[in-house]
Amino acid sequence: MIAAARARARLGAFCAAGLLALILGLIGTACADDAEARRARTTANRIEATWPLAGSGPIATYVRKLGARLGEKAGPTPYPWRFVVVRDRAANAFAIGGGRIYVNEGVVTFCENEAEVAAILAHEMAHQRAGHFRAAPASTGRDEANPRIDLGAVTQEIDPAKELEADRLALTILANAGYDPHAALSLALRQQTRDAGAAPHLQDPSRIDSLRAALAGVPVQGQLDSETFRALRQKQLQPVS
Amino acid sequence: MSMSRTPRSVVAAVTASLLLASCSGMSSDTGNQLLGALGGAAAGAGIGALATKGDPKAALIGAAAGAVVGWGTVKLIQYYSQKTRTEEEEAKTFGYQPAEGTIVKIRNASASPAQVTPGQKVTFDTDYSVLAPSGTSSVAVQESWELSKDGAVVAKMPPRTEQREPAGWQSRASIDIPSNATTGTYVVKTRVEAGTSYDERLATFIVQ
Repeated sequence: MIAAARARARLGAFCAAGLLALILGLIGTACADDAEARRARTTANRIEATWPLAGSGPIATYVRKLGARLGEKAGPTPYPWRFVVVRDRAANAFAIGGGRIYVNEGVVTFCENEAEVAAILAHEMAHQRAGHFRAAPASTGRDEANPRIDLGAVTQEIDPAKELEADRLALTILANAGYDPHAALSLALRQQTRDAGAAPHLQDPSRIDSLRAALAGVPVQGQLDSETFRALRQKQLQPVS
Repeated sequence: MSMSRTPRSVVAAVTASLLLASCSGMSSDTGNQLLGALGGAAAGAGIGALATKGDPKAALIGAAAGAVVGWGTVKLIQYYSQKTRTEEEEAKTFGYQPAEGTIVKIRNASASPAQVTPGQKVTFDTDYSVLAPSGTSSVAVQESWELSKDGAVVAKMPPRTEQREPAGWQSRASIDIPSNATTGTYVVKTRVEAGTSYDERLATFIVQ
Protein backbone atom coordinates (compact mmCIF):
# COMPACT_ATOMS: atom_id res chain seq x y z
CA MET A 1 0.00 0.00 0.00
CA ILE A 2 2.72 2.40 1.04
CA ALA A 3 4.81 1.56 -2.03
CA ALA A 4 1.82 2.11 -4.28
CA ALA A 5 1.10 5.46 -2.65
CA ARG A 6 4.72 6.51 -3.10
CA ALA A 7 4.59 5.47 -6.75
CA ARG A 8 1.43 7.50 -7.26
CA ALA A 9 3.05 10.46 -5.54
CA ARG A 10 6.16 10.17 -7.74
CA LEU A 11 3.98 9.93 -10.83
CA GLY A 12 2.01 12.95 -9.70
CA ALA A 13 5.16 14.92 -9.07
CA PHE A 14 6.56 13.87 -12.42
CA CYS A 15 3.36 14.93 -14.21
CA ALA A 16 3.28 18.21 -12.32
CA ALA A 17 6.89 18.91 -13.25
CA GLY A 18 6.18 18.07 -16.87
CA LEU A 19 3.13 20.28 -16.88
CA LEU A 20 5.10 23.12 -15.32
CA ALA A 21 7.85 22.71 -17.91
CA LEU A 22 5.27 22.77 -20.68
CA ILE A 23 3.64 25.91 -19.32
CA LEU A 24 7.00 27.62 -18.90
CA GLY A 25 7.96 26.58 -22.41
CA LEU A 26 4.76 27.97 -23.85
CA ILE A 27 5.23 31.20 -21.89
CA GLY A 28 8.81 31.41 -23.14
CA THR A 29 7.74 30.90 -26.75
CA ALA A 30 4.98 33.45 -26.41
CA CYS A 31 7.39 35.97 -24.91
CA ALA A 32 9.88 35.31 -27.68
CA ASP A 33 7.13 35.80 -30.24
CA ASP A 34 6.07 38.99 -28.54
CA ALA A 35 9.65 40.22 -28.58
CA GLU A 36 9.91 39.44 -32.29
CA ALA A 37 6.64 41.24 -32.96
CA ARG A 38 7.84 44.27 -31.02
CA ARG A 39 11.12 44.39 -32.89
CA ALA A 40 9.33 44.02 -36.20
CA ARG A 41 6.90 46.81 -35.34
CA THR A 42 9.75 49.13 -34.41
CA THR A 43 11.56 48.39 -37.65
CA ALA A 44 8.34 48.74 -39.65
CA ASN A 45 7.71 52.16 -38.12
CA ARG A 46 11.22 53.24 -39.06
CA ILE A 47 10.76 52.02 -42.60
CA GLU A 48 7.42 53.77 -42.91
CA ALA A 49 8.97 57.04 -41.73
CA THR A 50 11.70 57.08 -44.33
CA TRP A 51 10.73 54.93 -47.29
CA PRO A 52 8.13 55.50 -49.99
CA LEU A 53 5.62 52.70 -49.62
CA ALA A 54 2.81 51.83 -51.99
CA GLY A 55 -0.20 51.31 -49.76
CA SER A 56 -2.45 50.73 -52.74
CA GLY A 57 -2.22 50.34 -56.47
CA PRO A 58 -1.99 47.40 -58.85
CA ILE A 59 1.39 46.11 -57.71
CA ALA A 60 0.51 46.30 -54.03
CA THR A 61 -2.75 44.49 -54.71
CA TYR A 62 -1.01 41.86 -56.82
CA VAL A 63 1.72 41.19 -54.26
CA ARG A 64 -0.79 40.91 -51.43
CA LYS A 65 -2.90 38.42 -53.38
CA LEU A 66 0.12 36.39 -54.35
CA GLY A 67 1.37 36.49 -50.78
CA ALA A 68 -2.00 35.36 -49.48
CA ARG A 69 -2.00 32.41 -51.87
CA LEU A 70 1.46 31.36 -50.74
CA GLY A 71 0.59 32.03 -47.11
CA GLU A 72 -2.23 29.50 -47.24
CA LYS A 73 0.31 26.82 -48.07
CA ALA A 74 3.28 28.07 -46.09
CA GLY A 75 2.32 26.41 -42.84
CA PRO A 76 1.40 27.91 -39.49
CA THR A 77 3.03 31.05 -38.16
CA PRO A 78 2.22 33.05 -35.03
CA TYR A 79 1.75 36.17 -37.13
CA PRO A 80 -0.47 37.22 -39.98
CA TRP A 81 1.41 37.72 -43.21
CA ARG A 82 1.87 41.35 -44.21
CA PHE A 83 3.24 42.25 -47.62
CA VAL A 84 4.34 45.83 -48.18
CA VAL A 85 5.46 47.18 -51.54
CA VAL A 86 8.31 49.69 -51.69
CA ARG A 87 8.37 52.20 -54.51
CA ASP A 88 11.79 51.31 -55.80
CA ARG A 89 12.68 49.99 -59.24
CA ALA A 90 15.63 48.00 -57.89
CA ALA A 91 14.81 44.33 -57.43
CA ASN A 92 14.88 43.57 -53.73
CA ALA A 93 12.80 41.98 -51.03
CA PHE A 94 13.33 41.25 -47.37
CA ALA A 95 11.56 40.17 -44.22
CA ILE A 96 11.87 41.78 -40.82
CA GLY A 97 10.05 39.23 -38.68
CA GLY A 98 6.56 39.34 -37.26
CA GLY A 99 5.25 38.15 -40.64
CA ARG A 100 6.21 41.43 -42.32
CA ILE A 101 7.71 41.19 -45.78
CA TYR A 102 8.82 44.09 -47.97
CA VAL A 103 8.97 43.84 -51.74
CA ASN A 104 10.36 46.43 -54.13
CA GLU A 105 8.32 47.19 -57.23
CA GLY A 106 11.45 46.35 -59.22
CA VAL A 107 10.81 42.69 -58.49
CA VAL A 108 7.99 42.76 -61.03
CA THR A 109 10.26 43.84 -63.85
CA PHE A 110 13.20 41.70 -62.82
CA CYS A 111 11.16 38.50 -62.70
CA GLU A 112 10.18 36.96 -66.00
CA ASN A 113 7.11 35.13 -64.75
CA GLU A 114 4.80 34.94 -61.77
CA ALA A 115 6.46 31.82 -60.41
CA GLU A 116 9.69 33.80 -59.98
CA VAL A 117 7.90 36.50 -58.02
CA ALA A 118 6.35 33.72 -55.95
CA ALA A 119 9.84 32.30 -55.42
CA ILE A 120 11.04 35.60 -53.98
CA LEU A 121 8.06 35.89 -51.65
CA ALA A 122 8.35 32.22 -50.67
CA HIS A 123 12.02 32.72 -49.78
CA GLU A 124 11.18 35.59 -47.45
CA MET A 125 8.28 33.64 -45.96
CA ALA A 126 10.64 30.74 -45.43
CA HIS A 127 12.86 32.94 -43.26
CA GLN A 128 9.82 33.58 -41.12
CA ARG A 129 8.71 29.94 -41.07
CA ALA A 130 12.21 28.82 -40.11
CA GLY A 131 12.20 31.14 -37.12
CA HIS A 132 15.11 33.22 -38.26
CA PHE A 133 13.75 36.29 -36.48
CA ARG A 134 12.86 34.60 -33.23
CA ALA A 135 15.92 35.70 -31.30
CA ALA A 136 17.19 39.22 -30.93
CA PRO A 137 20.17 39.81 -33.21
CA ALA A 138 22.43 40.50 -30.24
CA SER A 139 21.71 37.11 -28.69
CA THR A 140 22.26 34.99 -31.76
CA GLY A 141 26.01 35.15 -31.71
CA ARG A 142 26.00 37.30 -34.81
CA ASP A 143 28.90 36.53 -37.03
CA GLU A 144 30.72 39.75 -37.77
CA ALA A 145 32.03 38.13 -40.93
CA ASN A 146 28.52 37.93 -42.34
CA PRO A 147 27.98 40.47 -45.08
CA ARG A 148 25.55 43.27 -44.40
CA ILE A 149 23.51 45.52 -46.57
CA ASP A 150 22.84 48.95 -45.20
CA LEU A 151 19.40 50.09 -46.30
CA GLY A 152 19.21 53.01 -43.91
CA ALA A 153 16.10 52.18 -41.93
CA VAL A 154 17.19 48.58 -41.69
CA THR A 155 20.42 46.69 -41.98
CA GLN A 156 20.34 43.29 -43.59
CA GLU A 157 22.73 40.78 -42.12
CA ILE A 158 23.26 37.85 -44.40
CA ASP A 159 23.82 34.44 -42.82
CA PRO A 160 24.65 32.03 -45.67
CA ALA A 161 23.36 28.99 -43.76
CA LYS A 162 20.00 30.63 -43.18
CA GLU A 163 19.81 31.67 -46.83
CA LEU A 164 20.28 28.07 -47.89
CA GLU A 165 17.67 26.92 -45.41
CA ALA A 166 15.20 29.52 -46.68
CA ASP A 167 15.92 28.53 -50.27
CA ARG A 168 15.09 24.90 -49.57
CA LEU A 169 11.96 25.65 -47.55
CA ALA A 170 10.78 28.05 -50.25
CA LEU A 171 10.71 25.19 -52.76
CA THR A 172 8.15 23.38 -50.62
CA ILE A 173 6.03 26.51 -50.23
CA LEU A 174 6.12 27.07 -53.99
CA ALA A 175 5.16 23.51 -54.84
CA ASN A 176 2.38 23.43 -52.24
CA ALA A 177 0.95 26.66 -53.68
CA GLY A 178 0.91 25.16 -57.17
CA TYR A 179 3.94 26.92 -58.64
CA ASP A 180 6.81 25.28 -60.43
CA PRO A 181 9.62 25.22 -57.84
CA HIS A 182 12.20 25.26 -60.63
CA ALA A 183 11.39 28.97 -60.96
CA ALA A 184 13.54 29.52 -57.87
CA LEU A 185 16.54 28.13 -59.71
CA SER A 186 15.93 30.14 -62.87
CA LEU A 187 15.61 33.26 -60.74
CA ALA A 188 18.83 32.53 -58.87
CA LEU A 189 20.70 31.87 -62.10
CA ARG A 190 19.54 35.17 -63.57
CA GLN A 191 20.56 37.02 -60.43
CA GLN A 192 24.05 35.64 -60.94
CA THR A 193 24.33 36.30 -64.62
CA ARG A 194 22.28 39.41 -65.28
CA ASP A 195 22.10 41.36 -62.06
CA ALA A 196 25.68 42.61 -61.82
CA GLY A 197 24.73 44.93 -59.00
CA ALA A 198 23.11 42.22 -56.94
CA ALA A 199 24.15 41.78 -53.35
CA PRO A 200 26.89 39.18 -52.78
CA HIS A 201 24.52 36.73 -51.08
CA LEU A 202 22.44 36.63 -54.26
CA GLN A 203 25.52 35.68 -56.25
CA ASP A 204 26.67 32.96 -53.87
CA PRO A 205 27.31 29.90 -56.10
CA SER A 206 26.59 27.54 -53.23
CA ARG A 207 22.96 28.62 -53.36
CA ILE A 208 22.76 27.53 -56.98
CA ASP A 209 24.35 24.19 -56.11
CA SER A 210 21.97 23.73 -53.19
CA LEU A 211 18.92 24.55 -55.31
CA ARG A 212 20.07 22.19 -58.06
CA ALA A 213 20.54 19.40 -55.55
CA ALA A 214 17.15 20.02 -53.95
CA LEU A 215 15.41 20.09 -57.31
CA ALA A 216 17.10 17.00 -58.70
CA GLY A 217 14.39 14.55 -59.65
CA VAL A 218 11.63 17.06 -58.99
CA PRO A 219 9.41 17.16 -62.07
CA VAL A 220 9.03 20.46 -63.89
CA GLN A 221 5.38 21.12 -63.22
CA GLY A 222 3.13 23.74 -61.74
CA GLN A 223 2.05 27.22 -62.67
CA LEU A 224 4.66 29.46 -64.21
CA ASP A 225 2.85 32.60 -65.24
CA SER A 226 -0.40 34.52 -65.23
CA GLU A 227 -2.10 37.10 -67.40
CA THR A 228 -2.21 39.45 -64.43
CA PHE A 229 1.54 39.31 -63.99
CA ARG A 230 2.28 39.75 -67.68
CA ALA A 231 0.02 42.81 -67.89
CA LEU A 232 1.51 44.29 -64.76
CA ARG A 233 5.07 43.73 -65.93
CA GLN A 234 4.34 45.16 -69.34
CA LYS A 235 2.96 48.31 -67.76
CA GLN A 236 5.94 48.61 -65.44
CA LEU A 237 8.36 48.30 -68.33
CA GLN A 238 6.78 51.26 -70.09
CA PRO A 239 8.42 54.63 -69.54
CA VAL A 240 6.67 56.72 -66.91
CA SER A 241 6.06 59.71 -69.14
CA MET B 1 16.64 37.50 -50.56
CA SER B 2 17.65 38.71 -47.16
CA MET B 3 18.24 37.91 -43.55
CA SER B 4 17.85 39.06 -40.02
CA ARG B 5 18.04 42.73 -39.30
CA THR B 6 19.86 44.80 -36.74
CA PRO B 7 17.52 47.38 -35.31
CA ARG B 8 18.97 50.83 -35.03
CA SER B 9 18.28 53.57 -32.59
CA VAL B 10 14.93 55.08 -33.18
CA VAL B 11 14.33 58.78 -33.32
CA ALA B 12 10.83 59.88 -32.53
CA ALA B 13 9.05 60.89 -35.67
CA VAL B 14 7.02 64.04 -35.73
CA THR B 15 4.68 65.32 -38.31
CA ALA B 16 6.26 67.30 -41.06
CA SER B 17 5.09 70.85 -41.18
CA LEU B 18 4.73 72.88 -44.26
CA LEU B 19 7.25 75.66 -44.03
CA LEU B 20 6.32 77.32 -47.24
CA ALA B 21 3.74 79.76 -46.01
CA SER B 22 4.69 82.25 -48.66
CA CYS B 23 7.38 82.73 -51.22
CA SER B 24 8.80 85.64 -49.27
CA GLY B 25 10.23 83.19 -46.79
CA MET B 26 12.30 81.33 -49.30
CA SER B 27 16.04 81.42 -48.89
CA SER B 28 18.29 82.53 -51.67
CA ASP B 29 21.01 79.95 -51.25
CA THR B 30 19.11 76.85 -52.11
CA GLY B 31 18.84 77.01 -55.83
CA ASN B 32 15.41 78.49 -56.06
CA GLN B 33 13.89 78.97 -59.43
CA LEU B 34 10.88 80.75 -60.68
CA LEU B 35 9.70 79.74 -64.05
CA GLY B 36 6.89 81.22 -65.98
CA ALA B 37 6.07 80.12 -69.46
CA LEU B 38 3.41 79.69 -72.05
CA GLY B 39 0.56 80.64 -69.86
CA GLY B 40 -2.34 83.00 -69.99
CA ALA B 41 -2.75 86.58 -68.91
CA ALA B 42 -3.56 85.48 -65.41
CA ALA B 43 -0.33 83.56 -65.32
CA GLY B 44 1.68 86.67 -66.08
CA ALA B 45 -0.01 88.57 -63.33
CA GLY B 46 0.56 85.68 -60.94
CA ILE B 47 4.23 85.47 -61.77
CA GLY B 48 4.68 89.18 -61.41
CA ALA B 49 3.08 89.18 -58.04
CA LEU B 50 5.17 86.27 -56.91
CA ALA B 51 8.37 87.74 -58.24
CA THR B 52 7.96 90.93 -56.30
CA LYS B 53 7.39 89.04 -53.10
CA GLY B 54 9.98 86.40 -53.72
CA ASP B 55 13.71 86.34 -53.59
CA PRO B 56 15.19 88.99 -55.87
CA LYS B 57 17.70 86.46 -57.20
CA ALA B 58 14.95 84.25 -58.46
CA ALA B 59 14.87 84.07 -62.20
CA LEU B 60 11.72 84.96 -64.02
CA ILE B 61 11.47 83.32 -67.37
CA GLY B 62 8.69 83.56 -69.82
CA ALA B 63 5.51 85.50 -69.76
CA ALA B 64 1.86 85.19 -70.32
CA ALA B 65 0.30 85.50 -73.70
CA GLY B 66 -3.33 84.78 -74.13
CA ALA B 67 -5.66 82.49 -72.29
CA VAL B 68 -5.07 78.76 -71.90
CA VAL B 69 -7.73 77.08 -73.98
CA GLY B 70 -7.42 73.34 -73.41
CA TRP B 71 -5.68 70.90 -71.13
CA GLY B 72 -3.40 69.98 -73.97
CA THR B 73 -1.75 73.39 -73.81
CA VAL B 74 -1.35 73.51 -70.05
CA LYS B 75 2.19 73.99 -68.82
CA LEU B 76 3.80 74.99 -65.56
CA ILE B 77 3.61 78.76 -65.34
CA GLN B 78 5.57 78.98 -62.12
CA TYR B 79 8.04 76.77 -60.37
CA TYR B 80 9.88 77.46 -57.18
CA SER B 81 11.75 75.26 -54.75
CA GLN B 82 13.69 75.57 -51.56
CA LYS B 83 15.42 73.48 -48.97
CA THR B 84 13.28 73.35 -45.86
CA ARG B 85 15.19 70.93 -43.66
CA THR B 86 18.85 70.06 -43.44
CA GLU B 87 20.04 66.48 -43.61
CA GLU B 88 20.54 66.58 -39.85
CA GLU B 89 17.00 67.84 -39.34
CA GLU B 90 15.73 65.05 -41.57
CA ALA B 91 17.51 62.52 -39.38
CA LYS B 92 16.16 64.11 -36.21
CA THR B 93 12.62 64.43 -37.50
CA PHE B 94 12.17 61.19 -39.38
CA GLY B 95 14.84 58.91 -37.96
CA TYR B 96 16.60 58.78 -41.27
CA GLN B 97 19.87 56.89 -41.43
CA PRO B 98 22.23 57.26 -44.36
CA ALA B 99 22.22 54.13 -46.47
CA GLU B 100 23.72 52.63 -49.56
CA GLY B 101 21.04 53.92 -51.87
CA THR B 102 19.08 57.04 -52.66
CA ILE B 103 15.55 57.35 -51.31
CA VAL B 104 12.91 59.99 -51.93
CA LYS B 105 9.75 60.25 -49.88
CA ILE B 106 6.94 62.70 -50.24
CA ARG B 107 5.86 64.06 -46.88
CA ASN B 108 2.94 66.09 -48.09
CA ALA B 109 1.40 67.22 -51.33
CA SER B 110 -1.47 69.62 -51.79
CA ALA B 111 -3.30 71.66 -54.39
CA SER B 112 -4.54 75.14 -53.63
CA PRO B 113 -6.93 76.76 -53.71
CA ALA B 114 -9.27 73.85 -53.17
CA GLN B 115 -11.83 75.40 -55.51
CA VAL B 116 -11.01 77.35 -58.65
CA THR B 117 -12.78 78.63 -61.72
CA PRO B 118 -11.57 78.29 -65.31
CA GLY B 119 -8.81 80.78 -66.00
CA GLN B 120 -7.63 80.83 -62.41
CA LYS B 121 -4.32 79.50 -61.17
CA VAL B 122 -3.89 76.37 -59.09
CA THR B 123 -0.70 75.63 -57.20
CA PHE B 124 0.78 72.28 -56.29
CA ASP B 125 2.94 72.24 -53.17
CA THR B 126 5.13 69.23 -52.49
CA ASP B 127 7.15 68.60 -49.36
CA TYR B 128 9.62 65.74 -49.71
CA SER B 129 12.79 64.21 -48.39
CA VAL B 130 15.86 63.30 -50.37
CA LEU B 131 17.98 60.70 -48.62
CA ALA B 132 21.35 59.63 -49.96
CA PRO B 133 24.49 57.87 -48.80
CA SER B 134 26.85 59.79 -46.56
CA GLY B 135 29.15 62.10 -48.46
CA THR B 136 26.73 62.59 -51.34
CA SER B 137 26.67 66.25 -52.27
CA SER B 138 23.69 66.12 -54.60
CA VAL B 139 21.47 63.79 -56.55
CA ALA B 140 19.32 64.34 -59.61
CA VAL B 141 15.70 64.56 -58.55
CA GLN B 142 12.85 64.58 -61.04
CA GLU B 143 9.47 66.05 -60.22
CA SER B 144 6.40 65.60 -62.37
CA TRP B 145 2.67 66.23 -62.18
CA GLU B 146 -0.22 64.45 -63.85
CA LEU B 147 -3.81 65.68 -63.84
CA SER B 148 -6.78 63.41 -64.19
CA LYS B 149 -10.53 63.70 -64.01
CA ASP B 150 -13.00 60.85 -63.66
CA GLY B 151 -10.14 58.40 -63.95
CA ALA B 152 -8.82 59.73 -67.26
CA VAL B 153 -5.55 61.61 -67.59
CA VAL B 154 -6.20 65.10 -68.95
CA ALA B 155 -2.72 66.63 -68.72
CA LYS B 156 0.87 65.72 -67.98
CA MET B 157 3.34 68.42 -67.05
CA PRO B 158 6.82 68.01 -68.47
CA PRO B 159 9.02 66.67 -65.67
CA ARG B 160 11.57 68.93 -64.03
CA THR B 161 14.96 67.62 -63.02
CA GLU B 162 16.93 69.42 -60.33
CA GLN B 163 20.13 68.67 -58.48
CA ARG B 164 19.23 68.32 -54.81
CA GLU B 165 21.42 67.86 -51.82
CA PRO B 166 20.16 65.28 -49.31
CA ALA B 167 17.68 67.27 -47.25
CA GLY B 168 14.04 68.19 -46.95
CA TRP B 169 12.68 70.10 -49.94
CA GLN B 170 9.60 72.02 -50.85
CA SER B 171 8.55 72.73 -54.40
CA ARG B 172 5.72 74.89 -55.63
CA ALA B 173 4.43 74.58 -59.18
CA SER B 174 1.48 76.36 -60.69
CA ILE B 175 -0.70 75.99 -63.75
CA ASP B 176 -3.56 77.95 -65.21
CA ILE B 177 -6.88 76.20 -65.44
CA PRO B 178 -7.98 76.26 -69.09
CA SER B 179 -10.83 78.59 -69.87
CA ASN B 180 -12.88 75.71 -71.23
CA ALA B 181 -12.15 73.26 -68.41
CA THR B 182 -15.16 71.22 -67.43
CA THR B 183 -16.34 71.53 -63.88
CA GLY B 184 -15.71 68.80 -61.38
CA THR B 185 -13.05 67.27 -59.18
CA TYR B 186 -9.54 66.94 -60.54
CA VAL B 187 -6.80 64.77 -59.13
CA VAL B 188 -3.19 65.82 -59.37
CA LYS B 189 -0.61 63.07 -58.96
CA THR B 190 2.74 64.45 -57.90
CA ARG B 191 5.71 62.17 -58.51
CA VAL B 192 9.23 62.64 -57.19
CA GLU B 193 11.98 60.35 -58.38
CA ALA B 194 15.70 59.87 -57.70
CA GLY B 195 17.76 56.88 -58.70
CA THR B 196 15.56 53.81 -58.49
CA SER B 197 13.42 55.29 -55.74
CA TYR B 198 10.27 57.26 -56.34
CA ASP B 199 7.17 58.38 -54.50
CA GLU B 200 3.75 59.59 -55.53
CA ARG B 201 1.01 61.47 -53.75
CA LEU B 202 -2.47 62.52 -54.80
CA ALA B 203 -4.23 65.81 -54.12
CA THR B 204 -7.49 67.18 -55.42
CA PHE B 205 -9.06 70.48 -56.41
CA ILE B 206 -12.43 71.38 -57.78
CA VAL B 207 -13.12 73.43 -60.88
CA GLN B 208 -16.40 75.26 -60.41
